[in-house]
Amino acid sequence: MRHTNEKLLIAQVMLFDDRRAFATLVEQHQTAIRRFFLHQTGGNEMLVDDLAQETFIKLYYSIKQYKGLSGFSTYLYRIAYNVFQDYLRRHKPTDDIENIPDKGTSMPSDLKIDIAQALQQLTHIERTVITLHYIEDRKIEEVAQIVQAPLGTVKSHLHRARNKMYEYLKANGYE
Amino acid sequence: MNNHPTTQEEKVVSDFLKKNAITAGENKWFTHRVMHQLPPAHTTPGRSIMAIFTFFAVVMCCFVLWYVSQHFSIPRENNITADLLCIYIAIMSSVLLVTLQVIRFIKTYF
Repeated sequence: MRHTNEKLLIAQVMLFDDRRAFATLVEQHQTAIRRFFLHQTGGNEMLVDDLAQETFIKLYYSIKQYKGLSGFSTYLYRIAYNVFQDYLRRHKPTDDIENIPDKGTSMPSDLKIDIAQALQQLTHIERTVITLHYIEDRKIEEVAQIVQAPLGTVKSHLHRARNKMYEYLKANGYE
Repeated sequence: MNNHPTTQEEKVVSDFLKKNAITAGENKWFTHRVMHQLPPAHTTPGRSIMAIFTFFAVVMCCFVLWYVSQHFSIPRENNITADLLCIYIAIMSSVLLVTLQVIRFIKTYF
């Protein structure tokens, strides 16, 4: 039912430039996209909002190119992934590590901070595949479409990322 | 850690990360902000006038067809009267107008 409704909204935006339909699409997907960027940036909420905003504006301009061959959310994640890659090209790769929230700020538990830090130990692509597959529940095939990489490459990134996180958390006293 | 984790292991990792990963705080102004960044909605006056014109042409066409069916009968011999000729021209013009609009719509969106 939700997919039918979503397709109707997409058609309304494509054909009639319906702003209300577009606002509904933004409302429906903003939490997932902001969460995706939150893991990529290590918790910088202002940056998250800027990147998510850029993603939806790019979506607005490119929605007519959506052919429906993949799921709409997969298409949206692909835009988000490209937006973040552009951001990384414009900034130093180490910038985002500074954004990990300190213990005692808005983070409720040490484990959450350790997981955020474990994610920051990964490369950009590893962090993306871990986030999309384990946190956003995307199938490996969908992750491959989003990052535009072969299935085997995604699987090996996933395996390496999982091991790195496991080792990091183990070294920090978790079993 | 296994090289090929089972579905059960995958689920454990997924649940663990979902439960313990940082979560985004609510931003109720987000959609509003995005909508404000979009370009202003543009309506071409020419297109709107054409659409209104077509609408009235179709309405007129329907009315004429109804009027003809009520007041005229098709002549048995093939002599076309001036009245009928006007009606045919009106219908043909409306059909042409609608066709042009449909073509423009297809060219714009597909």
